[in-house]
Amino acid sequence: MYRIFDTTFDCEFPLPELPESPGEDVSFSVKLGDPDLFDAAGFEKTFEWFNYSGECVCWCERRADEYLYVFPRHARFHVSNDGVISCLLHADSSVQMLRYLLLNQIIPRYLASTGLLVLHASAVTLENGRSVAFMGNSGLGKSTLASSFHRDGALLISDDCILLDPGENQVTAIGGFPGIRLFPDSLNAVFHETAGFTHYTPYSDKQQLILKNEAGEVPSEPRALNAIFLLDDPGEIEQGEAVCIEPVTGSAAMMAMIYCAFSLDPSDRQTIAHNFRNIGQAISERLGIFSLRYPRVHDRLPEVRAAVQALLMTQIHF
Amino acid sequence: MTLNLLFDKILNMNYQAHDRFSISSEVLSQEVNGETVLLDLEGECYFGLNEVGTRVWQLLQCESSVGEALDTLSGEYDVSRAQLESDVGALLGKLTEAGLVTLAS
Repeated sequence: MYRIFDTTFDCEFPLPELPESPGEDVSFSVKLGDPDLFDAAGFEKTFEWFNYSGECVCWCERRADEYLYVFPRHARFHVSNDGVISCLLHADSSVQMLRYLLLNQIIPRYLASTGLLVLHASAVTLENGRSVAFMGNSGLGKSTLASSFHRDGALLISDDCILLDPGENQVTAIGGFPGIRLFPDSLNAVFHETAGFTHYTPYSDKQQLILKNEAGEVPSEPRALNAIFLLDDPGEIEQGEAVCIEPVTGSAAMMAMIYCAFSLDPSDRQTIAHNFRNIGQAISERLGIFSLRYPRVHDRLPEVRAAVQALLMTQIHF
Repeated sequence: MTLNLLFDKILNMNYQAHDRFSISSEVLSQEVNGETVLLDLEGECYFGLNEVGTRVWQLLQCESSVGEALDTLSGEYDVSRAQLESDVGALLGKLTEAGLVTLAS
């Protein structure tokens, strides 16, 4: 059995990226699927995702409470309504890619379908004990920024995906995939060496470093979250611009979080409603939401870190 | 995904003081820092209300009549009654047009 997002599940094949869990009640199961299970008869396509080149990289099909997730070059996943995720690897892909899609796409989306709030965000716990998250679309710098903090002594909660619990008194966050994934330029700029990093897919130049919670590299328990920073699109930022942090309030904050929330079926009303309520509960006086605007120049990362930490020092009620 | 900002267009809609509105069962609302986000599950649309719109929405949730809402708001905001009637009327028109509320018969 394995542990992810503070949840225990069992899996028919090894998941070396994750910590193993002692015997506990499992929340869901992962199996290698019978090809007959992936017969699309009766399923209707609900959503498609395209990359920047216009290529369809994934689509979702639904039949009542069952889902088929198809990654055309890599794998298919069947998600049943009783918590069983079945996997079918494409002949031309790799087990490593299957695991990557399972841990970073399917499991987060499945957990979101159960009513949990899962966000596309990185997060760290700073040396002063405060935890912050960085939220935004792929490519805006979440992983690089979190890695920069981690290199500087922070504990990495996640580099890409967090589960948020909007508790009564405190919002907490815990990560899923326990690792760092960076493109070579960011990797070299932040770590100055590539020892421990490995390629995990032939379709990307990114390399990953798996962190271990028994080594204290990733937290094994949820952390109280103090602030969320929404990363600005760097498209119009001049390289010489100052780092700028501004509060984001009300509807703008809520819409930004809604946009970054995972779902198994983006059109499913129950999930839309769950995310709406959970996000509304999470945005409170105890969780600050800020926009973070900075030039995407690696040499400026220390300045960004300092600005975030300075902001936290001034927000005494966070 | 877009947020539709209500309360930004003047419509010539007239209501009676005793008129009451029903909020659609398909609408979820969430107040955040003085503003309100509305989610219309039927249309899969989000709407935003500013501070005054939030106050009007709170009064609708209490099933206040139009007249009762205007009386309450008159005591809370330093604007003329005529301005208030115009602005609240416009908002109610927008909410109705969007299918978020209906005039109760």
